[in-house]
Amino acid sequence: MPDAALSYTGLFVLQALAKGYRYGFDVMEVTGLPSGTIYPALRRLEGLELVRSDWEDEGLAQKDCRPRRRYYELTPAGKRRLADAEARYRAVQRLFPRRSSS
Amino acid sequence: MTQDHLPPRLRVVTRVALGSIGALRLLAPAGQRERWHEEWRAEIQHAAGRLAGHPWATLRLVSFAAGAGPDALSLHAAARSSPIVASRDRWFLALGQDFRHAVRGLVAAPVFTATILASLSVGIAATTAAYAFINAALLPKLPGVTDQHRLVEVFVDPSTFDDAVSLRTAIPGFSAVASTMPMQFAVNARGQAISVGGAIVSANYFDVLGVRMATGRAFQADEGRRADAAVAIVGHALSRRVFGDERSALGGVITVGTQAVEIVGVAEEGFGAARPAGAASEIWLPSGLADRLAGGEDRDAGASRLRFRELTHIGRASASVSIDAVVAQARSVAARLASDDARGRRAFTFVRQFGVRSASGIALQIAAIMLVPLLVLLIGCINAANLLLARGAQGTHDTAIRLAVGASRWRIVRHRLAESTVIALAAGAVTLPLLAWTFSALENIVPLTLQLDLRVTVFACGISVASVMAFGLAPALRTASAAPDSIVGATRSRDTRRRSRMQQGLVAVQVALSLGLLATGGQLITAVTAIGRATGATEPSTLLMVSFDLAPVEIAGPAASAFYDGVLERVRRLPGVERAGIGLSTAMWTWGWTRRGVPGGVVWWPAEGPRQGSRMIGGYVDGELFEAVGLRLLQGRAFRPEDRTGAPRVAIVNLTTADRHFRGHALGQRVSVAARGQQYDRALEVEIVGVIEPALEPQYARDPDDPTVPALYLPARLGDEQALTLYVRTNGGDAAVLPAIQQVVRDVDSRVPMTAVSTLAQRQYERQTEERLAAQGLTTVGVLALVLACGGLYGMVAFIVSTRRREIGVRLALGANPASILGMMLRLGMRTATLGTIAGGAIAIASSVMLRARMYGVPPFDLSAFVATTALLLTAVAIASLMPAQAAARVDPLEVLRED
Repeated sequence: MPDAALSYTGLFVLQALAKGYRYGFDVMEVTGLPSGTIYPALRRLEGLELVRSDWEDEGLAQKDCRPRRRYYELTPAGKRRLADAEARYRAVQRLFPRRSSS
Repeated sequence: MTQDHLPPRLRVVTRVALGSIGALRLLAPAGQRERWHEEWRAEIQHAAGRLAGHPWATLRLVSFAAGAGPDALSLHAAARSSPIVASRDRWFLALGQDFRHAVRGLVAAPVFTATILASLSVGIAATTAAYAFINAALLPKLPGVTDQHRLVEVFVDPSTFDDAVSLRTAIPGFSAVASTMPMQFAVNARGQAISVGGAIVSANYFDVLGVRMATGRAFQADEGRRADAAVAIVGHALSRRVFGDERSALGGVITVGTQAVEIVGVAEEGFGAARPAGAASEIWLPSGLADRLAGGEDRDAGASRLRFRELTHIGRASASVSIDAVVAQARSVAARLASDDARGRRAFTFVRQFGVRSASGIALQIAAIMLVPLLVLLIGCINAANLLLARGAQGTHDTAIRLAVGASRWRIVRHRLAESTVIALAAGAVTLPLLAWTFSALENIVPLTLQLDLRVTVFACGISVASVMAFGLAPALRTASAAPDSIVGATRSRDTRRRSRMQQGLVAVQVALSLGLLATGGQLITAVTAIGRATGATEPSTLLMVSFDLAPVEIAGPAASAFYDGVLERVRRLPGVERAGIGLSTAMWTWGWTRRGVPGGVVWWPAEGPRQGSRMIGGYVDGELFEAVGLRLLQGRAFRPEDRTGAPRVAIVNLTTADRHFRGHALGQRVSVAARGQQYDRALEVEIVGVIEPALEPQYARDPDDPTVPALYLPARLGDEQALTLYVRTNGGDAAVLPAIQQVVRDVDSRVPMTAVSTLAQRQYERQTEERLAAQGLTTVGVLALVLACGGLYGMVAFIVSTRRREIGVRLALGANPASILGMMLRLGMRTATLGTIAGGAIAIASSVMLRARMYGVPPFDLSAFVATTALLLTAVAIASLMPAQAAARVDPLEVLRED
């Protein structure tokens, strides 16, 4: 697994999943990023094995007359990366206490 | 599917979203397509349920569903399991984020955003509106005409209505040819004698032009040939004016000249309406009546005939042929006619697209108007560039931090790119309503229909976008390629200084351009006013001119003389009339007419032989004409009553004639004169007995140093004078005098309409429409440019303040007085403005030298106007630089020093 830098989006998505938001829509709502950013990020993170997805039980969905849902959650690797990234961002914050407008 | 619990609108949107997901499915890789579709279906429904009841629910659902597109595309990349960093290769995925970031950044800097948007949109709007105006002025859209751009005018003089057939055969690109002979008609409708502009036209005229009838019918083919087809078609406005509405006009009988005609049709509303420098056409008669209404072929026999025997043929291009090819065909045929001597004399011809105004006389103004909006666009773009440079410099610090925390350089550039794009798009969005407003405002001022020229709009927008992109990206590219520590550190002063010098240069150019424009506009206005004054008349608003033409109502010979004598004698006795005289409409002022002007006759100056002879300007004058128009007698004597009987034996010339033809000694000299169209063998010899002041004719002479024309006046008629003009000097109340004159004319002969009624002031105003518009346009644009330049100055000083905050902080910390900081910043703005002022002065002087060579009355260099403009500019500059300067003086040294 390449130890690549995590984008803001990736960090936000990991953080949201860690906080227990598991649908794409919910992640979008809580991060405030558009769906066109969230979903591709989820795909990438999944490709990097930082995130894994599970499909809802078929029977449950049929009972509610709706398609199956797909849940996302962090892998252990994902949790480690998130912890790393959090530490790095805190360091950055100490470096630049003001003006981090972006 | 469970959507029943949703509000109706959200339910519809959900269904639409699900449908579009179904279509977007095709973007996903084939192997994952169905799973992807299932996931999104679930998400949309989940989202719809969650959003129900929220504000903007439908909009948020739509924007949520829009994310499915990028997601489907991203599956292709994720299938290759590429690392996160490679996301820069799929830049489009994060584009939305960049754009939102850019919008947030712009909203956070409202002054910057407003200034840059205003600069760009004013530039684009000014350019587009000005070109639309020029287009409309040169190629006015004629209301009622179908596919005007497919019509070609072929003017042939001499010509007859039969020529349309031969033109149609000779020019294969024409599918049909119509002919028109514009005339001024004396119309008697319901006992009212009115003068109406119109034309004698071939029967197919309305068909070829594609003009519809508001009511009634167009001419029938046989009406173009039969001499007894007593029918007419009238304009919409005329039918309203005379009959109340177009329905009651139909079938009405009116007298045109001496011919009674029945109205068979009323043309579509707007067709034939007046244009600037184009009188209204309100009545059309079939060519079968041409000989009765326009007289015979003897075109030089009378004033009216001379002016009106001019035929224009209008051809419609066949659908398969390009208009340029048709024009080329028509040109070659016209050239052949012009060199062909078969008819005894060479034809005068010209070919142009239908409705195009010849630009010869107004070429200078056109050139000025065309360049000026480009200058405004340039100034607007310079402004934008300046502000973007400033923003780029302010953003340096942020950029450094982003680079330091691992942002890619491409990412930094992309962010700027997004910002520039947002600015360009927003400028476009602001420009549209501004353009609409400008167009409607312009259309209120000038009677033109303006049309947006797509090419010009695209060009103006392209220039703006290019400058925004170039100047928005340049700083980003430079900072992005620099090492972060070199930016964050204090080593940026050299870069900043170079950039601020570039900005100062740009602002100085702006100031110079806008000052130059303002000064030139001011000079043009002075020149227009000078032309207005340059008639020699004491007060243009109290000189009333009323023209008559007796030819259409067939009053000639002694009857015509009796009419004019009767009118003149009674008008002189009217209360409110101080002086009254009579003469040709061009006796005093030719108004720039050269070809169409009515000569007073033929004159053989001393140096001219029997076969030569010149067109006489002046001619027969009666009553107190010279006194009425305010021209003083300089030498010799005035006409005496005994001069007026019989054939003319004496003449009065103006000073220009005396100087040019008699070296200043005109009294006692003899010249030969004859009526229009007569040869030397019928000439009379007259003795010059007086010399008067010349009337100033800047529009005719075009020589700024000598705007006069040689004229010769005779006390008695040389031939049959049917078209004369009454010159009445009133004591100021022409409103009361005019109805009285009308009554006098009606009493003398109720058949005769008054044709052109106006004061000298009104006529000058009409004649100068183009010059006045050019001057006003230039001044407006100059003011716009000045406002833009002030915006640019503000941007510049604000930029310098922002980049020198640290320095200012240090100065303040070391004990500098805030007032001295304020002064420092003000001086900076003033220095730039002064540089610009000097350059602007040079531009103004250069333009006045150029204008003076071409136009009468341009002041050498209007120092007082220039000083006033400069004062205005410097005040604006002071205010523009004061605001950021104050911000600079308020800088808290502690805070600034802590920043880096």
